[in-house]
Amino acid sequence: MMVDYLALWRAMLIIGVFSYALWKESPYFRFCEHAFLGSALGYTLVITIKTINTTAVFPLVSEAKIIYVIPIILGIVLFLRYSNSTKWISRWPIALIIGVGTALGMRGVLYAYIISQVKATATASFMTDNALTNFNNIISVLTTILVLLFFTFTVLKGEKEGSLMFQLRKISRLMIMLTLGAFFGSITMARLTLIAGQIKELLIAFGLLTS
Amino acid sequence: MEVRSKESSGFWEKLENIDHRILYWILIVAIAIPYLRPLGIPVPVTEPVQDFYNTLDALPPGSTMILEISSGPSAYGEIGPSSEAVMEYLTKIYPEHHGGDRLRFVILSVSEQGPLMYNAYAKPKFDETGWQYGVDYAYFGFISGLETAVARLAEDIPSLLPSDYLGNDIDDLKAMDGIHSYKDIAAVMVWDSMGATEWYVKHWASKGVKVGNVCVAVSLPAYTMYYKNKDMYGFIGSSRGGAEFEYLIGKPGDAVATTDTLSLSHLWVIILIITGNIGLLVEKYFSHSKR
Repeated sequence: MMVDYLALWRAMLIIGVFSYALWKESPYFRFCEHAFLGSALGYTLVITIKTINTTAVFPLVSEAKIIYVIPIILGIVLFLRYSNSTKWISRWPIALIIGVGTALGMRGVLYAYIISQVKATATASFMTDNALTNFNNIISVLTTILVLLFFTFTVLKGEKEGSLMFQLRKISRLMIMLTLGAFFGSITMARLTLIAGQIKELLIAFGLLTS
Repeated sequence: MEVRSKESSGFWEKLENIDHRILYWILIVAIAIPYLRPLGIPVPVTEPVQDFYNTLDALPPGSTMILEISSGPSAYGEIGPSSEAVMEYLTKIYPEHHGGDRLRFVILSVSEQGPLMYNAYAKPKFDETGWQYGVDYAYFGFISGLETAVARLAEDIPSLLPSDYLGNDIDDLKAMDGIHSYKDIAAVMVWDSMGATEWYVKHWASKGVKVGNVCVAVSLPAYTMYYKNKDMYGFIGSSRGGAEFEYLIGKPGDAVATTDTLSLSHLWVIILIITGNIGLLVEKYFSHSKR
């Protein structure tokens, strides 16, 4: 029978990481943790250097595209923040990065976060053939209105307990809690799936399961 | 009455102070059991997964898709099985449905970990099914720039992708013939664990290109919103979505097995939540009655 040494090595690392929760912090756990961080950082460093080479250095050197001097200089300038006397210069490339990023982000934000959302809410149909869809659409529109109401502080300022607005805000809070609960449920599912993937690796490594 | 209240609160107190390691061990066992003895819990296909499948199947053969691989090994457990199922469909089942004709793929990664997933899931499947590199698909590796890159890609593909990850010029790749901007792309599919889908929705869906994804569970609420708005044609959420897709293509596999483990482990989590809440209420009740 051939031994899959790579799978065994993986299994040892997985057990090491799990040992923190299942047993206690130990030098073995620390080793696995550092091995993980080291390999991830090493990989990222190599990819970053390769990217700088292919996107900036190569076009500058081989294709004589002088314009690429500018991003290279701006990139180097970022490192000036490690000295107090030159720190201020590094703010220029950061300002450029944030400026371009924000401008670009804003262009899409209007569509994705505002126009599209408003359109979908306003045109939601309650009369489709699917009863569940109708119900979902009603919930969606109601939640939108109620949550907007919840965050409209100025209009509701001074509302008395027992008034209609006060009661509506109570329902709004419930809606927000339900939404956050759904987020929490998704996160739980994500984390459990991650553990499941690793348990499967362990079962395969120890020959209890075929891949 | 006082004696009984002491006993009751003592029980809940003990339960509250139970060693967390015992709970984790039970969780591990709950996850492992279904792998060794599958439960076969039925998985009904949800709308987003059905629409994902229908949209891909309706694409005319020869259309070009962008396959954005922006997930890494940390999402392997969630996205891995679904990605495998999607590749199985794209390389084998789609051609079967369309008289042997294929789709074309432009593949890239805005995450530096994407190339790892490409090598783990996409490339082996292309090789196994005899797809020709450069003709049926082209891979451009990691593209830096995050959202800026995605926005630029929509406007001018050749300027952002002048050569593939092997260094071949874009003009030498048949798969890139006639591909200049979003107008030449039939649909986008993102394997997503970092939120890149949102950038594609902003800069591609807003121009009318269909966007879909294979994503981690934590992003599901956000993508459901885009799906409802019809900015996304569908999505496969985590291994549960993958299980649905596996059933759709008639090949139950890893995702179905993982879904069984999720069901049992969730049951354990639910038991803990309920027990914790009962404990809290009991504690509140007794502390109140003491006063």
